[in-house]
Amino acid sequence: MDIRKIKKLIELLEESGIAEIEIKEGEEAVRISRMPTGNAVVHAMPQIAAAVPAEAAPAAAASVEAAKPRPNEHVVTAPMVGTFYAAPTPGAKPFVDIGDEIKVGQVLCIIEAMKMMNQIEADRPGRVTSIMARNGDPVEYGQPLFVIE
Amino acid sequence: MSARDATGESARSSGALPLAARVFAQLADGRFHSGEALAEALGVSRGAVWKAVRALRDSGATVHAVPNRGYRLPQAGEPLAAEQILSRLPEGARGAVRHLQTLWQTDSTNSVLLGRPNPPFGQSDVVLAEHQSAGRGRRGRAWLAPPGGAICLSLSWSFREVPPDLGALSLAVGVCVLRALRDTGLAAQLKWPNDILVQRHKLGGILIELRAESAGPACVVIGIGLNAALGEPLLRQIAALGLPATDLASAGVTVSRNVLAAALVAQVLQGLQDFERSALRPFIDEWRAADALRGAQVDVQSAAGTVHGIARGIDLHGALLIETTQGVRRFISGEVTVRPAQ
Repeated sequence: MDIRKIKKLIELLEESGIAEIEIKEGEEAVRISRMPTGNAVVHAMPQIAAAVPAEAAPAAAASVEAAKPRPNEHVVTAPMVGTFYAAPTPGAKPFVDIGDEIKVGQVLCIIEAMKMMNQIEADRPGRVTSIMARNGDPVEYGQPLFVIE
Repeated sequence: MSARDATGESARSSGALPLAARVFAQLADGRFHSGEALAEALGVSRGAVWKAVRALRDSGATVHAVPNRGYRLPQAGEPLAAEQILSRLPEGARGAVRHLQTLWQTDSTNSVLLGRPNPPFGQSDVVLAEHQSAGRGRRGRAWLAPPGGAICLSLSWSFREVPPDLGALSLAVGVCVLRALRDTGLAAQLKWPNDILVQRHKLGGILIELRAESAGPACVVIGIGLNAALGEPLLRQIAALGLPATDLASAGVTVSRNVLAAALVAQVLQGLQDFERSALRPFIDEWRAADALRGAQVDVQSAAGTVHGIARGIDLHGALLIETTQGVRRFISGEVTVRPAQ
């Protein structure tokens, strides 16, 4: 994983009230948790770490581990900072609703920043089980937007 | 390959070049051409020429017709030609352009590129259209572009991975456009986030569309629209909608659209590489120096409502800073309107 991305994630964590985040990217995964002092710590993890008990992780991480998505769940995150739009135009029907069956490539939402329009497409098929942002919400880099099962 | 071959080639990949386009190319010298001469030159009937002129007018072009003299465009102008643009690109930029195409007409040059596979990293596809029928402006407004009247240029690029502060790319591209215009002697301003102004009149705009996943490569399609020679009637029509507009001809820019298109492509390609390395940093000083809103009383309309305040420039991430009675607020989305001076 790119070091810049990890740095950015640490900054995000430090600015937020979150104790720990975990990001998975293909073969790689990284978990960043905050020490009691407020400093962020990076744990590089092999992909299989999700399926086995987290041996290397500090004990404090155990509760967070339990809250992680189930193996068949996939979280779609925001690729950039911006404003979340659930529908193509104001007042229009949202791109997707909870319970919708979606196909790969189907548009889930638009993230806009400074008139840069980013259509977020589904990268795997499934059913939308959760939508974590509301129309017009500001979203951060890497913020979870949808859960697809 | 001659300029004409280049136009012909691009037309072949999207159907035959319509007769209107060929008539337009004949008239581009700004002189009178009789219907008879045009018919002979193009190997068609005079009736067909007349229909083509009507089609040109329907698409927004001004074509003067004077009895016994013929047809004439209000001003001379080089038709867009891929070969003309390519030959003016500096070496480095030419190597990065995988494919450059000029179309007579399309719904939107951004849509053309969004419908194609991403170029490989470090390469770019470029599309220009002489006439755009469904150009997308802000808030879904149509971008008016009669044949010969504008530069409608889109360029695609793949980032190896999503760069930090990607949203600020809109602002960086604005600076690239300013740099290209500066070569023609024109000092333009920028209105956050992506309008190009000359003396408070809109000269053009930028619309960037992105295909990206939450991690991995990102493909952007950058659309640049500049008014070149809309003509007085159309400028008045736009002003009546409350959107004071201007064009390159009114601003005294005399270079051909092919020259300016080449400068835009070269500047944007260089800018993309700088942005990928250093985000907004190599652009921010020029952006701030050209900030048309700084110090103005503005309203910012966003999903959260309208906020009134004084524009205080942009931060390092490209966000607009507005000084309100409750302190400075930061915006990454929103429509800005300047309040008339009181």
